[in-house]
Amino acid sequence: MAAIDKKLHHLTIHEAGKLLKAGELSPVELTQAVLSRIAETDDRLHSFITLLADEAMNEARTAEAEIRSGRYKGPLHGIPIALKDLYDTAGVRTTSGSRVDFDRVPTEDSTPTARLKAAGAILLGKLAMHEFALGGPDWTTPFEPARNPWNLDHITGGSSSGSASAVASGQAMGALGSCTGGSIRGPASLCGIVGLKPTYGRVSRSGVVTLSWSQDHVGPMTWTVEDSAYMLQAIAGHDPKDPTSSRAPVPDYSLSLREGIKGKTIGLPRHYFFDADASVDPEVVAVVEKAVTELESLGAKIVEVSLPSLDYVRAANTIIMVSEAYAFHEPNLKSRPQDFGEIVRGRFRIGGMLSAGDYLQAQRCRQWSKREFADALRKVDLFVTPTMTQPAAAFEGYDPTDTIRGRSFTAPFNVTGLPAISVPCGFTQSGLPVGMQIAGKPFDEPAVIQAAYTYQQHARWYNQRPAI
Amino acid sequence: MVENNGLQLSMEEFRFMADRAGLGMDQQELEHLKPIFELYLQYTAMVHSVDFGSEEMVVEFHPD
Repeated sequence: MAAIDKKLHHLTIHEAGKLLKAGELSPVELTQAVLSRIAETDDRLHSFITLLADEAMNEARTAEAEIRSGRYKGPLHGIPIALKDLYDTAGVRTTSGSRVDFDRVPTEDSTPTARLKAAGAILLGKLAMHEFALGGPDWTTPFEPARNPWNLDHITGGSSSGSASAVASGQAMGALGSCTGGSIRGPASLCGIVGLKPTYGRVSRSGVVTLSWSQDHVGPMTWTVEDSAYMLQAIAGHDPKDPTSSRAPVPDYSLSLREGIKGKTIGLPRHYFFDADASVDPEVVAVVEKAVTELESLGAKIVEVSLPSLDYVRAANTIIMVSEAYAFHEPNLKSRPQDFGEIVRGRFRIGGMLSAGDYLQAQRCRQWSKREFADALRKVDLFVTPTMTQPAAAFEGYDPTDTIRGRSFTAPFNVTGLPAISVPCGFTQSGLPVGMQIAGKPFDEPAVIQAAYTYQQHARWYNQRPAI
Repeated sequence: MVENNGLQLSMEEFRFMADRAGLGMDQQELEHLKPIFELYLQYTAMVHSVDFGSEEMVVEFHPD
């Protein structure tokens, strides 16, 4: 790893935004620098499925003219970002990482796409992902899997694989991922960046290709906590086009960007997230334990909590996910199964073989878990856990079915819909990043952001970038 | 539908389930998918094993 330099492609959104607003940096210069970074690295990283270089430069020139004429739109204006390739983009191919949608060109932007554009962000392109946001990496799909910038022989995690590799390597200053069982926080953790899964319904899913209606979440992936707050601000809020979109008011997340965790009570469900288990790497747990100690030293009160439903949450998440995915993809699965990759075709077919009783019992477990977490959140302000059970695995010998074995540290917050963030908290002995997960009450993204920001400013892991 | 006696199915049982779902899988696909499906049987067994006791745990519907 290398100490951070201040090459333009390594600026954070916050840093670049200040320079852009002051007229000390041009969106054209910034976008050109990031495009050069992509050109120099993407033959190794494979973050992008579709690069929109000419379009991005045109948007940068427009942003430059707007800012110069005093029409500054806010912290994303002139910032080059990219989207996981399941966000519909009008006139731009949106593949979902699949041969099924290889030539699909939407006519409208997804709501998150449109909101980022309205905030002045510049779209660099569409990012690699595990097919239809499940499983992978799968070599039987038409796109090369993204690689981990910290070690190219290792996976990024998924399913927002290209989002993580692009942000970690400086190919994009921010990205959107999507998350049904951990697809934002997981790759963020494995690639040493921040990933924020907001509360279910906080961000519209309209125009975002479905994996599981009741568990899909949209959220940002960035280098720092403040950058995720800026992106969330742009995309959050009710959308009549998404029936699951919440009408809860959207607070000003920038107000949460201040240090302070003194007096907050943090719950540790040790029995599931920290105690020894065959599926959990003790080195990951040790790194996160150290971070918890640091939170305590910053004034947080740490208490142990018991959540017996956690033992069933992974099962509920998985059954609901593949059942809903089957319902969504059934026509294509039956008419053109050969166009799905091997992994997703199998998992979706399993969704078609589960029973209504299986699905409903999984939903009842979900209700149980939701109540149990709500009870615990009357006694604690936040939960802190490791984000992932393992560091990034090597491609060689990797078995994608490993992702359906053992514990999942991210799925509980998809099942319950609670907001959760992954923030970098150290490295393994072999130099692979480790993330800490902080989760909170429904729609209390401000508390989650503030805790993550407090830790980030104390630990300053953002000063280290992968040496690619 | 899914019996979890030892979390294993015979190939005949598995083929019946796949056919009932209208998935049209050939023998090779069935043989590939069966062990993965058996992993999922562990999950279905888990959710069916929960005793919610007297607590009413409903899948909700709101008419508004």
